[in-house]
Amino acid sequence: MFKHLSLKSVFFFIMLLTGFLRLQAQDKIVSGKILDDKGSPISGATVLVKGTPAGTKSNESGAFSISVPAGKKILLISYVGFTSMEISISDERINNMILTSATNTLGDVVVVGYGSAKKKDVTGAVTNVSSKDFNQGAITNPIQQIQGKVAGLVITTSTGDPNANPSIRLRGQTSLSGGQDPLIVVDGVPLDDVNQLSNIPPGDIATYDILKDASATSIFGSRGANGVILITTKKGRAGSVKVEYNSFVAVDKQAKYLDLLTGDEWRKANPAGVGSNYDNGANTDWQRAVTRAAYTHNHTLAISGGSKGFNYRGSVSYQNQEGIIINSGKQQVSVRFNAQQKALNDRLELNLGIISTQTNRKFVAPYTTERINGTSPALSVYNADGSYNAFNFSRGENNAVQGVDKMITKGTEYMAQIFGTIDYELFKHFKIGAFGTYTNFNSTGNEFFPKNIEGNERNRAKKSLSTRNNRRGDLHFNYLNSFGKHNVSATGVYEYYYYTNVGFNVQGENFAIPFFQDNNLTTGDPTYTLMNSSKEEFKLISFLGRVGYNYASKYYLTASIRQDGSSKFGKNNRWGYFPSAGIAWRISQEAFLKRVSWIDELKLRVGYGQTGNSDAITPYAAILTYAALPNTVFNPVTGTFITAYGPNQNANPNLRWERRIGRNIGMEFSLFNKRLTGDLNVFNDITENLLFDYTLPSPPFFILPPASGNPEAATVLANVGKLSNKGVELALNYRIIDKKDFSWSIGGQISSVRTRVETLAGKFAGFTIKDTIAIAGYSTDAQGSSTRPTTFLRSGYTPYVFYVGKFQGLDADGKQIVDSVKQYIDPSPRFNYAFTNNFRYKNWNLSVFFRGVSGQKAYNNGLAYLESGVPQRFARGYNTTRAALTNGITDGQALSDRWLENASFLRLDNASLGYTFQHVKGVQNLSVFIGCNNLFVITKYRGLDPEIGVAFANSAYISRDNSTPRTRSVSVGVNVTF
Amino acid sequence: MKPINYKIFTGVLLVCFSINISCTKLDPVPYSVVTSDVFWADPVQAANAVAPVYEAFNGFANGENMRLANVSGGQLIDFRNWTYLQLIWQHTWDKTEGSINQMWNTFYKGVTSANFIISQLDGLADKPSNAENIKAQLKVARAFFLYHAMDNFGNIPLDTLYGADPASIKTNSRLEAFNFLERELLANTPLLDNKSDLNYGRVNKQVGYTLLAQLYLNAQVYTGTPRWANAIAACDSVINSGLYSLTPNYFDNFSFDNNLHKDENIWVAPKSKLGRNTFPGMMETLQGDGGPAVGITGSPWNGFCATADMYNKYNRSDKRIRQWLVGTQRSFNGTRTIDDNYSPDAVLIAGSGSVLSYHLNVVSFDPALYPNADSFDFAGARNVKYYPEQGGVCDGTNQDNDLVMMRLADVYLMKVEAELRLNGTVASVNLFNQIRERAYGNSSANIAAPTLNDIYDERTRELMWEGYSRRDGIRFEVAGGTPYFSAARTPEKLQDPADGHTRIFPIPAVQITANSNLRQNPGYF
Repeated sequence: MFKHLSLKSVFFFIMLLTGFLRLQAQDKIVSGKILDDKGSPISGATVLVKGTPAGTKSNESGAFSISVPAGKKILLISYVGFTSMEISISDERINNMILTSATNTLGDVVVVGYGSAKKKDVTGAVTNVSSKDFNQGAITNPIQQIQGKVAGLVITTSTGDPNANPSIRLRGQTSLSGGQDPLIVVDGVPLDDVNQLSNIPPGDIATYDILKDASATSIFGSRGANGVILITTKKGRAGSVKVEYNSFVAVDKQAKYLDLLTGDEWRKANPAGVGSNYDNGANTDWQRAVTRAAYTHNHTLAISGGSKGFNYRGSVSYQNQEGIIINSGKQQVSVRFNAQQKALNDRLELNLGIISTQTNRKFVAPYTTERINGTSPALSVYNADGSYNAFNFSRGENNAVQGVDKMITKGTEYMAQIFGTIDYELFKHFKIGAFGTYTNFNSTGNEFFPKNIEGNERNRAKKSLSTRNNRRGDLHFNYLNSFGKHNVSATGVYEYYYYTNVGFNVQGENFAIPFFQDNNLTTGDPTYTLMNSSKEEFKLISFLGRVGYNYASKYYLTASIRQDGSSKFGKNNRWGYFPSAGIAWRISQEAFLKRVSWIDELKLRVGYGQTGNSDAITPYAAILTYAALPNTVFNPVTGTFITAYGPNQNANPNLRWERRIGRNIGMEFSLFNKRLTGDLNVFNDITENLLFDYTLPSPPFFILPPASGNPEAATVLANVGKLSNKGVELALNYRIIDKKDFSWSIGGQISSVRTRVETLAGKFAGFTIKDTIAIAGYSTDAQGSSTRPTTFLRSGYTPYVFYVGKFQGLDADGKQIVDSVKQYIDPSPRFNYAFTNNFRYKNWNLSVFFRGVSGQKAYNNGLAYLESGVPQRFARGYNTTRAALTNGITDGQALSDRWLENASFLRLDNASLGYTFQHVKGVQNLSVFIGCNNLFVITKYRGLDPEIGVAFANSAYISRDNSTPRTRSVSVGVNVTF
Repeated sequence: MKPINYKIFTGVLLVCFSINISCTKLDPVPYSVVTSDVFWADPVQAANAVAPVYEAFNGFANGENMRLANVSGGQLIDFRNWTYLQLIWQHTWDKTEGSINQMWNTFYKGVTSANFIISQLDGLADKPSNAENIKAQLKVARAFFLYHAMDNFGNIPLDTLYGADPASIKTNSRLEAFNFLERELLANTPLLDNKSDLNYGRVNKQVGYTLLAQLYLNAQVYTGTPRWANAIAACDSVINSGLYSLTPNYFDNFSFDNNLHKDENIWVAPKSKLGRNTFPGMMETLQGDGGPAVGITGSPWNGFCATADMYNKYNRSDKRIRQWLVGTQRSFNGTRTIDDNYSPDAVLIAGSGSVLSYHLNVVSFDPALYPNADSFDFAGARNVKYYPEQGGVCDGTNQDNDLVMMRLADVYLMKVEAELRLNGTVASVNLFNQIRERAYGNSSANIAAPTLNDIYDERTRELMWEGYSRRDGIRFEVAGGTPYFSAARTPEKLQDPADGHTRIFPIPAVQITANSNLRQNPGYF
């Protein structure tokens, strides 16, 4: 019944689209066969004669025959889920017609921000990845689907913690003051925070479009500098009701363990420790004691369908991911619904989406990972009576297992979003419309630490709430017309964005009844109660326009301009302009190449654009504000401690966005009947007006309270320096074998980007900021390093360049000799690369995906700690590695290039084997897979994993092995469509 | 169709137009931070508005400046917790040393805060009735910070104007700074209130005169010209006010409830266990398992200690020796005071299983040169002068003791020293012996004619850990030639270079980078 109805509506739909309803006399019979791209017959496909109402359907074996009136030469063939095609008929018998599935052809249309365009018409560097190319296996954060798939897009997951977010960097580090995440736009709605991505079920995503160069991202103005990732979720299609169910189960284990001593080895190497407080005869492997085999299961159920003028898709997802550290994990339920309605002869189009996600997170108990590697292996986890061995030594060493079992740190996130668009074709070729969205992101945090777990005398509980809302609306028009060979398009948008963030938290201590945890905070000792609340908001208002022109689909010109105004910017610079221009030349369309049969497509692109980055600017960063320092200053009149309100920033009325000026030259090609395709881009970008907390002289400027671990200093967030990114990206895909029963294709990408701090000098408020010496970066834990940084931001060098002495060996006493002349050592990777092999044999497919980084260095602070000064470590009851027993080092951690290790690696990131069942009765599609993630890593790096979070501000190239270790996972999954 | 279209189109245009007017306003609207227009509305807000200067004093009282003064002067040493202090002990710091920059920032935080508040006050249409008094208070407070900047860095920028053109900020010579401070203190101190309960922890008239006395006492170091007579006169302004006297018990000045003992302390930085700027004195000194010896619950950081040289300056009959913990440590039940440190409770056992026992053999910074790890961990006498509150309420990071910034005992000793240097004899020898009698409980240790060395040692014993040791060492060295400051010390400190450049710290490299008008001090490159 449904099927019947939907086919009818498709029939009508196509007729309406073509707009020709006149009847014609019939003339000849044409027959043929319709197959899908795997060669299977498609039954029930609609075959129409263009310009007539005449139509038929293909039978079980895909065959059809149809009467074609005289003078009509074109057949229209369509089927739900596949791209419609037009066939010119000359003979009565036509060859097999291959319909390509719609998900494939989404690749032909790319979303470019405030609109879409055909891939061939795009003038910017845009990469499209659709669901058929997604990474398979245990995918829990959607961005993992395209990890390694896009040249220039580096996604780093440096930890195995389900609640940690990967770092996403497009074309290298573009800024020094945080704010390097690309802008993520889901169905036209920008996310306030890139980490909200984890609240989107991976199974709902249809495509990613990655806008890489400034000519493409400039349309996003002051938020486009780090690139833009546009995510399109799956939509319903007219046709029968489709039910999809995707599921996988995975098991994760820690991928690598440090080679630490067992209790017996520890006692043997450290006779003085035998029988001491650090030894109760046990053999405890703390690394394994706090971790486990962690299970993940993931289910997505989606129902979609539609009829004439109306499509919908609804989905429910459930994800339960255990962390490998005991008592950590993530649980997520998500409901999404979207619908599209057309009316008034298709001149009116309505879109509506509703999303609700709840995520429950259980975080790893604080300091767990810092603790486990050092703890004495000669201590047991439990006492003989089964209670915890509650040791607690100076410097905070205590039982990590007890910690993860007893300390509660969890949180819940609720994300609700509603969005809608209305578009109306006012005149032919001219549409106007409006878009509106409201997003509410609510998170709560809960903490409860019982007493005596970490030597704390009092138990402690905390509840925190934060609500981030954004409202975004736009009014837009689109114009699209052709005048002969001249094709013209234009888009104009007014956009309004309003963001608020309200926070509230209360903390209490000394609860007589621990049962309450954080649910009855008034029962704590009021002496220790702390409260906090905050609210902030900002507005962003934009006007933007884009025009496109092409001549005969051969010569293209796109130009855009955006004007952004933000309440975050200083009053002298509240509005900014972001222009761009791109040209493209499809050389393959030229007469002289049209005859070259092996060239299918050859396109040359040149783009220029300006974009901005204002992430580093907090809502009130430009103005002089006071912050309250509660209970700091004694007021002798009242006899109480009062709040001091002191300036907490130096005002900067000129504060504005960083300006990134991007230049890109690209070439796309498709050769040998699309067997070899590729995309080459060369770019040279400059970030000007670089935001940084520049050091100002005090006097006369204010010394500000210490912020985020840095000591107090006179600084101002100002636009002063300059940073450059130069790079090359190449993506290639080659279908080596493409037979009916067997195919083999390889695809790969390699990118190299060189980032340099060009200068950190310039003018601020008429004052010259100089950078004759390096501005401090970050420190290692080596002795004497806490007040002396190790990595630097220095003009002419890569950000966070190391400045260390060479290790020259050990002296007679086993002390590390370090050259007092220090050298700059560039830790940044030479290139990132990845390659995939896809094999298909009949119904089997196998995909093997490698990913690597070459030329990267990392300071192995984790091992420097474990392997230095072993005698002192033993005396304090610490553990060490087997290698350290013979390394001869007797002194403590010394800063040298000895610990700066080669962190290049090649990882077998994902391998999956799938089987697709054919012709299962009542089932459209059924496939199963088994996959493995992080199968092995080839590296010289001695720490747990070479892929450290290089871009995380506090650990740039310095690895402490203090987050949840990476995992290796095996997954099995099933995808069914009814 | 067409007319409808035009209506819609016009409607859209109108919407766009109205949006352009109403929705393009972009002034930031703050909520949980405030801007200056919300201030000074009433006396409470005025009190809050002055508070940042005192917040800066909080930072001063337990800041890097204190550590650098105590360690570079040789009173305290730390080679376990804050290893950068090894350089400070050895006088081998350089211009990139972060702690020296932090000290600079502590001083100029106070200076710029005072400048800002003065400018706010000057700009008010309706000034509080006590505006002139507040201003004098702020100026003396600013002089305090500039005095310490001049004392530590020598040649410093004198900035007294909020919003000054950065290009106008230049290095002023130490002499210029001295002259400015003298003028500023002479002009503003008389405008201040006398000591009262209403200005506890605030700048009063006696604070101003004590600061003036310190300026004059060290004038020879600063300008080459001694001002002993002026120092005596400034001390007399404090002594003769009659508002202060020595407390009978030395340790009452430092106790957790020292706010109840206001006789001797001229100025303190009040601390509260509930406040933000808490004082972790015990945490900075004791060994990790040593907390129970003084009744704190936290696990200390095993930092500061003193060498045998320092400890041995105390006679065993001198009650002030009780500020040191040496030998086997014991826990206790119940409450006790610093006066009964040696009660026979349970012996403390360190994490290693050994008995926790502090010893005086501070032989090296290098753990390998100690017989074993315990020996390294237990080296050095620990100072518990700021004895914490008892009863399990103090975890060590939140001590309630108000930190002493100026004290009558210092004024007495300054006067005695200035008299001796000016006249060759001590007229007010009773002041000197009042301090000795309090320490010994009787007059048995009185000295009839104290020598300069007697005064130096007495200052060391009396003002231990109060931030005087660097300044005193330099003054005695400059005035008398004995290398109190620059001499070699055990462990690991060599004699300073003869050019004396270590008597002032380098201008921090980041400050010169930030303002190229600043000149580096002689001897630093």
